[in-house]
Amino acid sequence: MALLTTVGERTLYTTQFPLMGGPAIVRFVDDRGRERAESIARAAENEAYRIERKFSRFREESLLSEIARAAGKAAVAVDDETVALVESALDLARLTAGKFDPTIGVLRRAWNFREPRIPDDEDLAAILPLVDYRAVSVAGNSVLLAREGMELDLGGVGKEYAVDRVAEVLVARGVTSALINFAGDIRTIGGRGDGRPWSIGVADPRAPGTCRFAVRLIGGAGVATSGDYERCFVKDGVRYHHLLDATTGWPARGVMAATVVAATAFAAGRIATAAFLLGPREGVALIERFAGVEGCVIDATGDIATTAGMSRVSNLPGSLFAAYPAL
Amino acid sequence: MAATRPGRKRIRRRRRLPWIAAGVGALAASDLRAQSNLEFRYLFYQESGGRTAVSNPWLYLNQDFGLKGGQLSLLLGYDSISGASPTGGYPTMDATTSASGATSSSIPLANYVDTRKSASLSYARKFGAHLPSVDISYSEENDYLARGAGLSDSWTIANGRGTLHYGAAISRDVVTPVTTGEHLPKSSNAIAAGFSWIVGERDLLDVSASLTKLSGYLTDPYKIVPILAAPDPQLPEVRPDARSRYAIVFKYAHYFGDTDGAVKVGYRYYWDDWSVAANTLDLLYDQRVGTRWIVSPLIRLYTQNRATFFAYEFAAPQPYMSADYRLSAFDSVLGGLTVSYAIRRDLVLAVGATYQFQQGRDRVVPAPAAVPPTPLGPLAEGEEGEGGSPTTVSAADMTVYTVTVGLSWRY
Repeated sequence: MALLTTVGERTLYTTQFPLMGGPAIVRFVDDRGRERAESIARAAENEAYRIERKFSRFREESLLSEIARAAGKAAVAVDDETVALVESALDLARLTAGKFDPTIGVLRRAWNFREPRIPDDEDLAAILPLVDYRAVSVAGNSVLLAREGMELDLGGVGKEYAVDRVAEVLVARGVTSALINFAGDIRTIGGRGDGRPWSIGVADPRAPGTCRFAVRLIGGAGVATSGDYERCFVKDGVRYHHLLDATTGWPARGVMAATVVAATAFAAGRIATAAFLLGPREGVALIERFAGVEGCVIDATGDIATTAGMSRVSNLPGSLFAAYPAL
Repeated sequence: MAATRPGRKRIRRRRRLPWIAAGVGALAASDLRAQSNLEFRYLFYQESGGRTAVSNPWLYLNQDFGLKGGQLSLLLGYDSISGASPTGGYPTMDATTSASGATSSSIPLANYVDTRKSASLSYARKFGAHLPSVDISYSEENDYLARGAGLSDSWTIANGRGTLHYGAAISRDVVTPVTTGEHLPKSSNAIAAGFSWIVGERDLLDVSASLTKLSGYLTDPYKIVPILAAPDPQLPEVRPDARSRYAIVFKYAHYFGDTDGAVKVGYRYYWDDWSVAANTLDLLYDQRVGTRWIVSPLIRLYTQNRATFFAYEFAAPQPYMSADYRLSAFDSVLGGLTVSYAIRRDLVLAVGATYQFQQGRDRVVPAPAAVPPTPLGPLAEGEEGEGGSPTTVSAADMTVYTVTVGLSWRY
């Protein structure tokens, strides 16, 4: 943890650590001394690691691995937190008519985005029967995957969930100004503390390191982006990326990126993923359906389509930040 | 060619002055001796962080036709330019939202490639105490055409101890941004005058001043400025359509006869009506080693103020605005070494390298996302050192190295 800047008693602390294969950064302002800040940072980190351990499909000891081992055989007893996450993933699957599917993890046997190999239709056809959210049963506090070989993958929502849980840890410890950023999934708490809005760049999907525009947040909110530019390869001029349409097994087409601003990172992440998978027109229409949620979809030609209220939380045309005072 | 091109990089070539090119002792005789030479030089230029790289071979021919025939010089160059340059985009996002796993550079960059072909021709002939010369130049890039012409004279006075030199140059350029295809004119008119004086046997002093008036399209068509207040988050930068640039240069050289070495000190003060002011201090030492070697270390210090209309972000659109770091306040230190070896009496091989460290003074708090992930270790007391002063970045922060290889044949 590094002490970055001190303004009077209020101090901006930053801590960072690797999480779920990406960087996790937590910034918060506190005025109760270094020892207290250290304890807050540790609590935030511990909570993030707890979620990683519990919900990673890559960890043998994780709950998801246990559910996969019992697939087709027995239901696995889980706690309320897991039930809520699984239910939420199933909701998202229904919302996208199965384009998003929490059992999609098995497709990594066909797709490995570390090397530019395109699977053939037979490969996918052999795996797709194991991708079916309707074969996931949640009864009380138990989860059952109906077919042997199925897996449950909460990767689509796990990181955003961790962001929100860490936010709760900070709020419970009296933090009123913070920014949590887990590899691009973001949650802000309160104001920035200096009168300026939080400024969150929306990555340009085709120009690494640059932003298309900025989300401006006066208070707390969650921001998440789904894009075709990470874990991808281009072969023969065609981009193959990790956001697979679970109904076909092939990368979803028509969208480069979808960004959503919602009350929590979890909500923003779910809706951004759904909007990406549904395509530009349906995607924006979907975001519009949620009250208090704004977003945009950058389509395959690079054009941005936004919800009607996106300008209120960004510096896109029509922004209320037009009247924002000078620096 | 990338769709957006963030601005051309020019490698400035200093006009070779006799007292820079050789020891003071050689100066007085240089105008009298018929001497032609052919020179090939290759320069490689690389900025840190994957920014601009330039590969530049050039050929220089100087044909001496004797006292009455004059001297004709031809310079041909070809620059191959690639890399990335800061767009002017705001570097201080609190964070960047992106697809899983992505992190963002805190300085927005855009990639580009280009080539530049250039040629210049000059002719000089001595008339009594005067050495007038005329030159023309031409260069073209994908989006930039430059045509220039110049007239100058060196007037030797005081039995060769002093030289008055003065000249004028014009350039008529056309900028054709790849984004719009427009043809935008840009012109430059310059005058310069100076005075060189040989002090005693071993010292040379030169004082000169120049004025350059630029007009037309002086904006970089690929730079953007972030606008905190909408309607647009990013607008193209806008610079005034006129600029008056002034410079005063002092140069001093001293030849150490005992060691056969020469020290050359140069100081340049520059200012313009965009409120940019810059100081450059050069310190070069040429040391002959044996009969074949010359070793030349160089140090250069540079400091610059920002233009009035530079900012990293603007609250609202302004008549003139730029976030181009080249108009920001920054300092740099350059160190270099050139080693020349006379293969034969008429054939010299020179190999040189420079390393430049540049740091911006207009600094902003960096994006946390740009910080590489590190495990949270115990909170070391040493980290307290960071307290009180925020970690900041500037688009001007970079290091640059160059490598030059040249072969010169005198005939």
